[in-house]
Amino acid sequence: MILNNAEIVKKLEGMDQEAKQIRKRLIEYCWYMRGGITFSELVQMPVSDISLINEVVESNLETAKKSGQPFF
Amino acid sequence: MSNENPNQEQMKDFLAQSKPAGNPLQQYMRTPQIYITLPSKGKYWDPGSIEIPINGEVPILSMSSLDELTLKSPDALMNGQAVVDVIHSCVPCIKDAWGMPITDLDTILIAIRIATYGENMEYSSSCPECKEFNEYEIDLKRFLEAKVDLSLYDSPVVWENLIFKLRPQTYRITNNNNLEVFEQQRIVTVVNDQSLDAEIKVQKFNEIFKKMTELTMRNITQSIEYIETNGEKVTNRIYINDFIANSDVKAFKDIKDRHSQLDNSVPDKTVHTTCPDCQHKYVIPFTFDHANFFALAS
Repeated sequence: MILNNAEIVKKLEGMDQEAKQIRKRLIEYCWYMRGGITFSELVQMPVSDISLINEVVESNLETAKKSGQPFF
Repeated sequence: MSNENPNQEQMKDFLAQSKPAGNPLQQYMRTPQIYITLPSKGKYWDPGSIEIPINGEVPILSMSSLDELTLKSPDALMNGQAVVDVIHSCVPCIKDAWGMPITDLDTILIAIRIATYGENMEYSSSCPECKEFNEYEIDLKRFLEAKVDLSLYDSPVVWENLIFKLRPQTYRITNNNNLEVFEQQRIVTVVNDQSLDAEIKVQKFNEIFKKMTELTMRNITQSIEYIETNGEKVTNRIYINDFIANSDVKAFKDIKDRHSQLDNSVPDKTVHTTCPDCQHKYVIPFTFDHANFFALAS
């Protein structure tokens, strides 16, 4: 694969954005789990387990929406 | 008398104890997702760099978010450290991935990806006929199951009364060589872009050409495990380098030809595709660009 300078810069910026997104996602999970999981535990957790946490969060959001209960 | 508040000291102790870094339970947080047999079966690895289980099956763990972040670090990807760190994290049997034969690299990376994101990988390509951009899904298991034939390394190259025993290069050597080639390519771009005198440009290109020839020579010599003559095995790198630099072209060509044969014995990693729009059949080379390979599923 041969990239020119502009493409390399774009790729690096993309990687930086993705890294930020991963961090932000983990911090959001810390918040959703109400401190039940720390950031360092999430960082060490397998990616497949993190998607399970995502399912739990989405399910809770859905339940809160259906029941009309506040979800903070 | 210390000015430090005793409560502050207690708090420091508490924080030190509650710090999760270096948790001895960390190794139990992830369990192996798949087991693989390495193409090399543990042969050609630097001594102490791998501990192969008795059954020969190497356990592979899923990547963690920390591994995902490591693979988003451009500098670490560039110098090879990201790949080494992720391998150490996901393949506990591997103690020093720098000492891994390059023939095992693709298998290990594919296995890590399967263990993390599953067997299917999405990829996209543009049809060369109708130029339509389409998304496909590929089963990575077929790359993992493709047999890598390393038997050619067991039959040495014979030239006159010399026997050349070859071995696959380690990741450390391949990575260093790739960095040097990259550096030369960068210099070519700089020289081309600059408004230099034609004479200086020629001089610069001659230097690059000389360096690239040296790299090719080094690439060949680094793949020689030993040269046997009259029952004596020469393993000293200085002697081997000296011999290759001053040897008959025929000897060099024979070793280079064997390298080409070895390259051809690596299973084909292309994807045969049919464009859903115009039904045109075409082949896409499947490249293991680490930056993309682990990014597509995340």
